[in-house]
Amino acid sequence: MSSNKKSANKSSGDNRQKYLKLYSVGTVLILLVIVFASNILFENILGKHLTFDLSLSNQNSLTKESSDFIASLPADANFRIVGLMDKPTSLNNSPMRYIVPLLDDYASKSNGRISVEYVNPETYPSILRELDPQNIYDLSSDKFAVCYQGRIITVEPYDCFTYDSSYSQQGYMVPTANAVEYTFTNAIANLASGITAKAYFVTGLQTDESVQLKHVLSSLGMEAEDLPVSNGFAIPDDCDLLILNNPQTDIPEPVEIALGEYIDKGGDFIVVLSFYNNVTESYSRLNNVLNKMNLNVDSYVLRENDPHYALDTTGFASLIHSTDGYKEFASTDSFRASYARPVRAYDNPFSYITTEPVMTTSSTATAVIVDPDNGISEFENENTYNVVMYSTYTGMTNPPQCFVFGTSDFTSDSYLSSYGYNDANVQFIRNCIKKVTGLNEYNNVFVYTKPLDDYSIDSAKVTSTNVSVMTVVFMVVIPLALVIVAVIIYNKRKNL
Amino acid sequence: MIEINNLVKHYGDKKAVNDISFTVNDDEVLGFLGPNGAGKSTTMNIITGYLSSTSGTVKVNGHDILEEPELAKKDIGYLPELPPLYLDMTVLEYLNFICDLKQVKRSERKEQLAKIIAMVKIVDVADRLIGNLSKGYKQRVGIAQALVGNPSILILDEPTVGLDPNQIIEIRKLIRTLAKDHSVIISSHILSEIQEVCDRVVIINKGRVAAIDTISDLSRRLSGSSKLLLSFKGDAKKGINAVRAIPGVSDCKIRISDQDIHESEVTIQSDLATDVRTSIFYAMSKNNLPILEFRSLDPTLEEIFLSITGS
Amino acid sequence: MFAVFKREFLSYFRSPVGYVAIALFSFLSGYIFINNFSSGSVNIASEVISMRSFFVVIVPIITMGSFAEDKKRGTEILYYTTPVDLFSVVFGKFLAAFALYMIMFVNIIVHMIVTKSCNGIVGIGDWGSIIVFFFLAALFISIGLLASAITDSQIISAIACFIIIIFIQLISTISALVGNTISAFLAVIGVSSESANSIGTAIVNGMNWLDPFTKTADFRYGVFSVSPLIFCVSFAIVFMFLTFRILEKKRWAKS
Repeated sequence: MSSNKKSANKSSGDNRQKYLKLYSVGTVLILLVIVFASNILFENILGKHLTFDLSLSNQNSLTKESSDFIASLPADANFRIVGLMDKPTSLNNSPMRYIVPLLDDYASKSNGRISVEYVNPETYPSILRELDPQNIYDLSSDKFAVCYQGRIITVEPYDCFTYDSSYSQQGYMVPTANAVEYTFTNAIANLASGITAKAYFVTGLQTDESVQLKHVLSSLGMEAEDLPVSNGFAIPDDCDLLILNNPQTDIPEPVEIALGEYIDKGGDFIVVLSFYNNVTESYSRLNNVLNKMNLNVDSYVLRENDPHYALDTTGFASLIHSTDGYKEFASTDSFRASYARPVRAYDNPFSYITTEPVMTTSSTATAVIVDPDNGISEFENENTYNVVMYSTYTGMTNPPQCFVFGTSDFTSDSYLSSYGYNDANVQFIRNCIKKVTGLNEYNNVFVYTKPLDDYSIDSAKVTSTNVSVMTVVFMVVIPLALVIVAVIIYNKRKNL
Repeated sequence: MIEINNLVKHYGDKKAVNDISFTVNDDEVLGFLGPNGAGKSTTMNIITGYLSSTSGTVKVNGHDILEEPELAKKDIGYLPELPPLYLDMTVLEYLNFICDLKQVKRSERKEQLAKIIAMVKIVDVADRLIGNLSKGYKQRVGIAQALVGNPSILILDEPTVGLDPNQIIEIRKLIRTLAKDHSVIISSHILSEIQEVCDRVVIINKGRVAAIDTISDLSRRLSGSSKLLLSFKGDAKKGINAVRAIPGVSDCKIRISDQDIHESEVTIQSDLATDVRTSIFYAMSKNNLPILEFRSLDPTLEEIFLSITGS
Repeated sequence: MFAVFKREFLSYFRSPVGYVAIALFSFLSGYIFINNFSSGSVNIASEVISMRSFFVVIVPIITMGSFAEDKKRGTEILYYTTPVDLFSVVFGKFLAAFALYMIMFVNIIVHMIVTKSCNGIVGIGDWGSIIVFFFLAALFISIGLLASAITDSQIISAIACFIIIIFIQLISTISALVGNTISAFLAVIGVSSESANSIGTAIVNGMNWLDPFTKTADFRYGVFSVSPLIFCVSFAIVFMFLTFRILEKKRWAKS
């Protein structure tokens, strides 16, 4: 073989390697280009046409309740919904995608009764003055203002949803229900009714935050304000409803006195207590006040012994049932309650006081004393206990009324945000508020929040037996069986 | 039939295979001989399509391994240096998987596997886990794997390495049986192994073909310089002089000379044409130097290369 | 392809790997399900999404051996010297891992049946998150295969796969960090703050574009969209093709 030919061979050889390399890298690059190009193409050009809203409740159109209500408004009504922002264009991954299309639906279905516009106050600062000349409402960028006859209800996009408080993904909350229609229709209804009512929350006693409960009030057209505990504590005259939302400590003397006077004036109030962190608190001053309504809350925790009622193995979470007079308050008569204190009628002889049990346990519940040092001990024999009671005075105009809840599962943020506004407990507390404030006659629109997910299951089936059976099957039997099979197969094959 | 033309493989600057060409005829057993690191495995990997050559072509039954790899690979059964065995499978599971890989028809599979299993004598271990088999059995499973799909060409890379002598004999027997209806390429660095089973030998060294020849031609060429070892009692110098005087002896060198016990060992190089052994016997006896050991030396592979490459 | 699929799939069940992976999945999903169940509200979508965070553990377990073990044992030579296409080898191994995922998913189907029998809702959002689950599984399995092909050590392959998946899960956090750092850096070296900010935002957006989790977030609400699915599939193909090229590189590469 001549040396010429050899060198020719060598160079052709190197060419082959180069060619293969070029081919290999080239094909990868070409594939990448194709993939990126087609993805961008799909996303930006075809993406919108290839997106389908298959959600069951049709998130972006009005339900019959809202349409009927809008149709019932006077024909010349002029509601103005102003989004204090530039009209959002990119709706993906933002709560706006449930708000903007729905508001468009309001505008188109209202026959001119409702107008929707977007004005950014950073570009047009005059809009704030125009809507709110006296500067009494809390208007700012990125909120919606629902305006009617000089009154305004503001809506924050974030508040149009309930969120899963137990599960948050990478720092932001995961919404569980879409309350956009609920929020806006209620706002319109409240403006249309023209009535105002104000609720005060007594704060400063390590009470619950009440963010969700305030949303519920706002959907009923009630304004809410905090009333901090102080030496000069006084209940304002415009108070239509006073709420003590799960204080962890007893009320101080000034509050006891103020509450007594409030009852004498015929004031309405709701007291919520529970038995979760504050196991040693007996609320003697608060009970003094409640005794005026012939009610008393005891320092025990209720334990449900009936397996059909118990929701967990301890029996501290259980189902409770509404009594006959309150069946209409919600779509079901069973409700969840946990760590409940028993509420009972006090031995107060005045015949003008009427007390009613509202929610009761099964007939086999027991009251349990929890001593932080010595554990728990039974208090009384199995019996039916009241978890919620109602009391009022009879035979007088404008009597005082109150609901006393032994559990925080009707009012706490964590419960309300986990279960959403359609939950039976929320329906119930709404009706309790309506009953004591007398809003019943005015506000009859009830718009369901839309289940982004409404995942409640038949609570009768959530028994402690079922839960333990499933725990054993799903977390012990199946994995263990698999591991055993793995060991058997491994050993068998090892010795083949 | 395999035609290999001007095969070159570079690893960076190193040339593992440098311009190798040879042909394997049908039903021929070709020995592929060379010291460790001579490029045997690389060449075999290129022939079987595992590696691509830097340049040069390999044609298997007329199909180029780069251009028509699927057709070419169908005709080859390959046992690499390290048999490609899944230790977590049983022999039968493994061979069935190989059948799937080589797309053996379902109807033929059972018959073919039975035949192969009987041929390589792994009937008793067919249901055992490959990981639990002895080295000899693993090697046989490796060969069985190469036989699946009835390839006309078998390429076996060091099939006896690491086996004990009994196993080596069995494997050789097996290869002889296979040679009846397959073209076989066997690589080895042991000459005797190749001599026993091969029709032709390709010897490579440092990536180049050093010789291609039939065994008989090769032995004749090798015997061109026959070498003898002689050990005797007596003075080394005396013995060497006596041997050198014999016509036909070209060289005689001391290997060991032990003055205390008065024994010497020399190596003798002689011409091919004359058999000097009788002459040496008489010369030693005449000089009163009793012969303790006298035998011809097998050429080592190194020596074969030296003699073949003439350096 | 079927040969490779069959071997790989069965090999999960010849060794403890497959059983252990399924047992792990059963245990974790069971835990989440029972937690939901005892609180009286079962959200299958939420469960499926939570199980997605365990991709980071389960995918490396499944894929770490795919190619690394073949290389170590020398069995990869079978794929080069028998008449199978290397890409179909990659695809076969992909299908095997994917099939194992489908078997694991039986757990969630059981949970869905229990939910349904307790008058719970298995709605469109649940189906959406299930679809997303499988498309993301495909994407991550292909990443696992690539990680397995670049090394002959199972451990290294598992770690590489783990890191890549962690990175993808945290991409939105990381992108914000990178974007801020770069715009701050640009501002320091004298670029006007406006353009520094816009460069930072561009980087954040660019990186977020690669985040399959935000792309597919709407499915759980029942809003289905084709382009995120195309995104997952096309990048799964890219990773499988890269794996294929890396395997093939062995033929011609210089070392």
